[in-house]
Amino acid sequence: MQKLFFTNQNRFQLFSACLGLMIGLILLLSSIQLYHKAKLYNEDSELLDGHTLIIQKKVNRASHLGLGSPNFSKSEIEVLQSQEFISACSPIMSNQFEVIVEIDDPVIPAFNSNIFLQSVESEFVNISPSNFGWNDSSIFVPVVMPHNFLIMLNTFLSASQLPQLSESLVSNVEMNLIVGPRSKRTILPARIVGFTNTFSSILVPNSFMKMANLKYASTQAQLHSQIIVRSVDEKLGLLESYLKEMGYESGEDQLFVSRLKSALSLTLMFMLSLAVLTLSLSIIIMIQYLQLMLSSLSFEIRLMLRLGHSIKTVKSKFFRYFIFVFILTALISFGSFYFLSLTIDHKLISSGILIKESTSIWTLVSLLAVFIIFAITVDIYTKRKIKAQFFS
Amino acid sequence: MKIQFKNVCPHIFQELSLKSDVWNNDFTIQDGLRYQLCGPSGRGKTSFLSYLLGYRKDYKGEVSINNRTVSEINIDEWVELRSEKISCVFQDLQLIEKLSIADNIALIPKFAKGYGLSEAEKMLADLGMPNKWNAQVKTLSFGQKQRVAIARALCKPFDLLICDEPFSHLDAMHKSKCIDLIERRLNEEKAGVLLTSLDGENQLDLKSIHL
Repeated sequence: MQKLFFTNQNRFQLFSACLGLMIGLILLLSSIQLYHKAKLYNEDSELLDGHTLIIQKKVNRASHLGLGSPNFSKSEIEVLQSQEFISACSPIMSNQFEVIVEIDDPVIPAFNSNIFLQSVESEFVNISPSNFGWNDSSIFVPVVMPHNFLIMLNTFLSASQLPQLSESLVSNVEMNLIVGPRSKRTILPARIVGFTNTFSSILVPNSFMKMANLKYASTQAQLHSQIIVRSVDEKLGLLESYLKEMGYESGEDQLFVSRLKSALSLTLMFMLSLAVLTLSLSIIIMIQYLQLMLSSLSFEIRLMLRLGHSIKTVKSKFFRYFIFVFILTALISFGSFYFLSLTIDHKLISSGILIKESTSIWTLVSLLAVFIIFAITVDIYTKRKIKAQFFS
Repeated sequence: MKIQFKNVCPHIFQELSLKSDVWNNDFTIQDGLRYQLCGPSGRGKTSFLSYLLGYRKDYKGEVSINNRTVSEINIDEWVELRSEKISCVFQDLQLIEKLSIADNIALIPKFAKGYGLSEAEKMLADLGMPNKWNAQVKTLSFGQKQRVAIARALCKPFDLLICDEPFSHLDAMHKSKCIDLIERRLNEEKAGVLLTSLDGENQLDLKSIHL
């Protein structure tokens, strides 16, 4: 039957479909791999996470003259929350008492400094709530440090001729927070549980901040000069316009990172759409080729059925042929993609961009998904066409 | 195998008020018996066979095989009927021109007990076609093709052999050889035969049915 069905076939259309399938698969695998790499690369930079910005009111001459408040009122916060391009929004709470951080560890020279604490809703901190929670019985205050703090600490250690610390090492450093006015200072043990690029101050849990403000602050009025907002993924532009219109501002570097994230997300989205489009087209061409083949072989197929072959037997010949073609194309595509991926990784590494050489499991999952879609389409289509020949 | 035609009439004959042994009549093919469908061209011989084999349904009335109407027979049962119970020599032969004789015969799903490709080759040699086994079908004359089609049908297991004008292009000598071979296989399989022809055949002891 193999000889009967598959010799002397014009394979130009099949070749075109295979080429399309190959391009589509390489694009699909590459976009998934690129997404994986972007996730892996400097994971803490939250390269593909939502656009999170800290906004404040622009300081101008009027605010110096006391004509406009630099703080956000409750109604201003509510208006912000109601905007369609904002998916989440929360005021940032600041300490209203004196805080000193003191490093109390034998491996690091004594170090203390007045610092500024902030707290936000836990959803804006990329740390598990179980690690970043506090209550009266907690034995230490969990803190999230800005990356810049580690850089500053390492600069200090380097100047003191001491070895520098990595993120994991610094997490084990013993430190204290000394809170309250000079007359009633309290020493609270603290531990670094994570790092952030979004905030430039040290973060503590909301529950701790509320307690400390109540206990140690001289005033009970809580003012919100900063608000953290997360924009809806594709609506960063609308948020930017809104901030400009309202006279709010955000750090330029945060905006730049957000624009970069948008561009990367768009590029990945475009690549993925192109891959899906190319794959769909090539599968359609492949099915058309199958249709052409089944039409040109209608006499042969009918004869097989008349001689007593089952629909399943005849169908399996075509199914196996097309599955073989797909697997061969997929293998060539995966090989090309893997080679391309390795080449790019080596180029990046040689340019000093440290990236892990790994292939995402999702590339294989997507390949399997395309295979399943293809196999089901071929199976259903072939069965339907051959069945139509059975009683003719 | 018992085949019944109950008041069957092809749609194209409906306006002619035609009545024959088969059309608009009750007609039964009994297990193991031999029949010849006689009639001039255009009286529906090939249609009769197509109805019997389930290829066409452009008729009124009822066709049943082993007491089940053809519409009740499911695909798996049809596969079994076509592969093991009914063997056909088609009027248009249904050979694949681009393949060799060997490849054409190898297309059958199941050989009869004691038969295989070597027996088929020997069968063709007996029918006057030695040394042609690997020849492409398109290089053969129509008479030779008819003998290949007969050999292919006889290699299968069957309870009923259907032959649609199988000897139309054969000379007397080859026709006689074919009839001898058919006779032998019918006896081996203890099967019946249904043969259509323009003129009467009597060498197979056939019961004539007029269309």
